[in-house]
Amino acid sequence: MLSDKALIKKCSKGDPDAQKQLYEMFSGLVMHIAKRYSPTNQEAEDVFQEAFIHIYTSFRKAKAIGSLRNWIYTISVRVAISHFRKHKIRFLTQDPGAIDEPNLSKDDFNIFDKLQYEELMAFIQKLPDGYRLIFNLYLVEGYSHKEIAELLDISESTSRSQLSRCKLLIKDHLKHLRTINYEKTY
Amino acid sequence: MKRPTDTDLLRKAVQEKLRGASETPPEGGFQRIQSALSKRSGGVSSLRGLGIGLSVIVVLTTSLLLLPGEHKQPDLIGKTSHHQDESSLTQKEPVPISPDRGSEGEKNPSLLGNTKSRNDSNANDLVKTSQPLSDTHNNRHTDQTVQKSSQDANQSPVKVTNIAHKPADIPPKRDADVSIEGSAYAMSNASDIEQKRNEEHTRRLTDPVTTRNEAGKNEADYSVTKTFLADSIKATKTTTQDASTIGSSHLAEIKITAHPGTDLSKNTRGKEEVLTLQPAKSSLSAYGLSHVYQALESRPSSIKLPVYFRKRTSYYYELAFNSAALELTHIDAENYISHNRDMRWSFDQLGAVLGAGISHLLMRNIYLKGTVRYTYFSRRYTYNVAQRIAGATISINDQPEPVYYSTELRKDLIRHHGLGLYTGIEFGLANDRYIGLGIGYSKSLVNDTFDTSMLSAEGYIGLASFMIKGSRIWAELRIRHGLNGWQNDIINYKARQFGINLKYELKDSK
Repeated sequence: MLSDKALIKKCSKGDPDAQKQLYEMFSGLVMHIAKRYSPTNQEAEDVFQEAFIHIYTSFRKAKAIGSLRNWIYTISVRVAISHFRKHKIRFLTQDPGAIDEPNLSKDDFNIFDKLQYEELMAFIQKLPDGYRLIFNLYLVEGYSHKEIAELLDISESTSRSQLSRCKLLIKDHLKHLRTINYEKTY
Repeated sequence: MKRPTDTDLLRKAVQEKLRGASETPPEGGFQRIQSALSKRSGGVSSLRGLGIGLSVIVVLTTSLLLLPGEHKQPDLIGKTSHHQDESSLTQKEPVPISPDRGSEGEKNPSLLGNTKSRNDSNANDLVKTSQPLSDTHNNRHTDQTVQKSSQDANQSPVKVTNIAHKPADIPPKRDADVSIEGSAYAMSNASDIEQKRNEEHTRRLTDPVTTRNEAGKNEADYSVTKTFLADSIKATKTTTQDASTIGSSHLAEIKITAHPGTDLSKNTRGKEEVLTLQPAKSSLSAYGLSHVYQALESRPSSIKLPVYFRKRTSYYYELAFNSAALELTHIDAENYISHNRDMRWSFDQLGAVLGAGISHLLMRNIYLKGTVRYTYFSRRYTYNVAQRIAGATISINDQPEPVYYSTELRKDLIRHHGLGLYTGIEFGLANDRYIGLGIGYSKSLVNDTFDTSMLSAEGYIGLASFMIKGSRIWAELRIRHGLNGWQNDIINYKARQFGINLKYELKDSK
């Protein structure tokens, strides 16, 4: 088992064994990111493959890789964004004031805490493209609206409105889950 | 202390839920990635091949254009030699004409005999000699040349020379002269006046001084005039049918070809074209007038008149060397760490640009240009003035990510191949200066991995020009501003570049 440093060095030279080791180490993480940004598993596999190609080909260009995991994570996220930008994602622009900012209650959070990983992933994949992208960038990656706006070449208000709509869907979904759970427990 | 909103809480909950998450990769994923990688490297090879092919085309075209002017002689020369080959079957070997050609004609029995035998058989047609000469076959293109010839011929005592050249444009008045003179020579009991004229002609012909003077005045008709005189004195006859056939066949054979000349300067005088007029010789030989043919042989093969005009559309090839190009980017594409906005100055060195394009004159000094370019750089110096580096991309618990700045100077050996399209307007300025504006799209590949495509607004200005071994080199300032771009996985890669090019432009004269 090679260390990160040795792995980077060998991968930058195109060593197939090192590439395979890297694949085994990080394929789970990359697949997770790909699935989180994709509406279907089929597209997730495309993103997954594209991301690894970029990873392998970018080793030679990279100056200094501090954390290999963070580096791979960032590339995977970028590739996922690029992939869906190519499909011309439509952001439903609407005056954010027209939508009431939904507030999640304590009950909602309680339900959310009980969500399984698979359920959350299934929910994320079902979100419309624009909502899913903002959900990932804002809630998972931790970008601000300003940064998202710059990254996606959209306005900040668009990013905000997408998040508000996304929260509305989350709230509805949690409400739906609560009803089901209530029915189950009753 | 700000109280966290529900969105902050949701963010925290989601991040905790997804922390350390992992999914099962697709089966055979690694093999598919490997095969995709090999395909991609194949694509790179084809791009490299395209670049080499383009270079070869440009080099070949350049070498063709740089061939000496003799190789670009008119097609007419080729046709002339073709006529010569055909005529050689029936034609005697041409004899060079000496200054005392007239007396030589008398001494040449074969030449005289040939003329006599034909004249004897057609003696009765003499009077009609001038009639076919007045046929007018107007050809606007030959006007300039023939007019010159006609004017010269008017100074000559015998006008038949002009028949051989271009009887079509001889005014009717001159035809009448020819008829009268021809008749006078033919009659054995010619009047004293005519005899004196004949003698005078003979004297002028045999006198080297006179001949030279006449040749100086009327160089174009020099040889033919002498030949005709010698012939007419001895034979004293000619035939109507022969003359008319010769005249008409000459009219049919006279060709004008335009040849590319030297491009004198950039867009100032346009192209020089040379109009060449040359009569065919095979038709002459067919009627036994070998002496006329010989005379034509000794004359200049063509008469060239320079005519200048301006072409609207021309092709050009350019070869440029980028001495320096300054690039400012928004996002550092190399680190893959998000939000690295920095002031990066990079100098692309030892770069070369090969281009080919079309230039169309829209109006005075305004050109529409379209170019295909191939660029190559081998070295890059990067100076990061203040590179902002964010430590991590995932902020946890709303803590701001660590940020620091760095300054560095780096030298990279790169292989940058680019293929671009450009279209724009170029304005010609005074003193061979020019300025251009346009839109360009380029796709480039760096180190076989890093592809960039960019739509950009471009501008350039010709600052100065100088000559190196007869070739004009322009120093050109180029500015490029990215309108929309894509670099690998970096969205909105927008580079601003400006630099100095040394450009050598080869103009195609076709």
